[in-house]
Amino acid sequence: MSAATQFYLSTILTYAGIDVIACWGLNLQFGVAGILNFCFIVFQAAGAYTAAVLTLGPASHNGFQTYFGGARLAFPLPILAAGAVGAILAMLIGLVTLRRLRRDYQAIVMLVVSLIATLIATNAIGLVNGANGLSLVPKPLASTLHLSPYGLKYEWFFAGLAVGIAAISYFFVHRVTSSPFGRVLRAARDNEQAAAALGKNVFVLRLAVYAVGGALAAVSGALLVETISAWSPASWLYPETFSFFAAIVIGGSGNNFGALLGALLVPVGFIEAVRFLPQFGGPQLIGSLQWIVIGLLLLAFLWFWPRGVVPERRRRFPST
Amino acid sequence: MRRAATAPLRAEVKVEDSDPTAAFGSLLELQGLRRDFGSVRAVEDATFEVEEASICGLIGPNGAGKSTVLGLIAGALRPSGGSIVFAGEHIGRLPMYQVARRGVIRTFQIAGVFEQLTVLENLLVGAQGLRGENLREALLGKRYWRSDERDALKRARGLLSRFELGAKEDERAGTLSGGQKRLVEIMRALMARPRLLLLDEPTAGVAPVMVHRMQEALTELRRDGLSMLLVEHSLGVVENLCDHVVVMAQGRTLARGTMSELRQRQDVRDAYLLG
Repeated sequence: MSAATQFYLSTILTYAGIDVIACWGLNLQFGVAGILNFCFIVFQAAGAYTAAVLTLGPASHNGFQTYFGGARLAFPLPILAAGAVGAILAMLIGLVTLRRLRRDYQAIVMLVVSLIATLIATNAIGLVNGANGLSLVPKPLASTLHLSPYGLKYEWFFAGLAVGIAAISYFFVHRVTSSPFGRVLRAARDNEQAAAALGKNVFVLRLAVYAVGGALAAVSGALLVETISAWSPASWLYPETFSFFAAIVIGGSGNNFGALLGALLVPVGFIEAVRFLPQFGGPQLIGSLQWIVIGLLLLAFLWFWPRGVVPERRRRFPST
Repeated sequence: MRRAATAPLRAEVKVEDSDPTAAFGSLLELQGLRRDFGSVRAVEDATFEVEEASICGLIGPNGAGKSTVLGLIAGALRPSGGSIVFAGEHIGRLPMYQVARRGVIRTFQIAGVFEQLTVLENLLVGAQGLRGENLREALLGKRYWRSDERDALKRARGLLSRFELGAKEDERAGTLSGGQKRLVEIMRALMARPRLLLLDEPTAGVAPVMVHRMQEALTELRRDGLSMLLVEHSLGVVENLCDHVVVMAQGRTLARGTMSELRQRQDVRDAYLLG
């Protein structure tokens, strides 16, 4: 296998691991709990920025980039910190949005949060270097393993790392979805009033799963910034959220394997693979067509196959 | 009428021991209950009691405020005035889930099943205090909550058998008929082992043979000590089931008594019975 092919495959595998983690996070929030989290990309961004500043080290006064709270932590601390920041951010946003607002208003508020977050990151230069974003983020463990961070061996190592962290994420996601907690979340998604009338504190349950989804999104963001080594507001504009929603709807909302399939079909198979197509038309044409096709696919599935390719499965219980 | 060859309902639905404070009086007391929606007063003055181990009917013409009263008791709505005392405790300001945890479980006018969940899962959601229903316990894994779920499964299957819906346990609740959904909702409420069951038109859309079975089951539950407040339009059902009946009209409690007593009253006939 040629080096170019190996580079291509390892890159795709890395993105697959990262996007699958993100899609499982959104599936918990949207597919299982019914939260229309239109600011999902903010959690991924928060994770990416956290991991970047905790890997870059303190910002120098004369440096080309300025940011807040820099440190040089060893792997896997930046990723763990990113997960914690994602969970805390989700709790803060959830406390405001999930308590009193109806589900459609929650979606509007979260979309507004996404827009505000981008504006803050762009304009508060001292926070995360404004519109230029952060770059030259060191690749984790490259020096420890004596590997060139841009060599093929490191690419395969990082792909394995992303898949490994995805496997660990699945362990937690599966425990949530297969438990009575997951069942109550799905019940509250179907009928919030009826769940509350059975003694379930729907707000607290949703807040908890919102935090787990936020943590997973942030971990995916941390891995993403550590593989591409740069992150700026242009990486996480609000339409990015809808590519993840498209993945969940197309793959199968409420089903972990559906979310995995959706991640492989949409953010990986569709968006990432298209990057490798030969350029045609104007420089922005392929990018714009991607969004149009994703939008049309989303509409088609919502209209004709709203339960997706792998629908939420019916739980059957053994005889007692 | 055929009877399912199952254990008595008491075996599946253990009614919690009565609160000593309520043993000498009413389980539920409503005093001057009021609810406004903006400038519209939906409930003006609801005042009545529900005694332990009794079925209280709540009847009245459309718009009398019956379902609003049920919503107020269940915690779905906050009272604008008056008091709701359950087992000696004021519950008028408690959120719905807290009211439910005290043993007041309601069903809805339009059956509120969890459509994507199976019938059996619907019933399991009704079970109270099940381990594994919060994030921490879920992450501890199946070993931590499996035994609780096994017990709840046994009870749920007992109820399904009693209501002859055992064959439907793996069906999604959303695919059931309207009447079957009502039964699922009632069974789910019974899974919660309530002390007071609030039933909002439970027989609407239910097949006559199943209405009979439901009446039999509710009578059995009352005998076992469960109290019920029943909003129902079918006066035949009210007459068969209820120990006493409260009549509401224009948001106020108009009268209270047995159905035969109420039929004699001119004001009740004017307001409701004779249309």
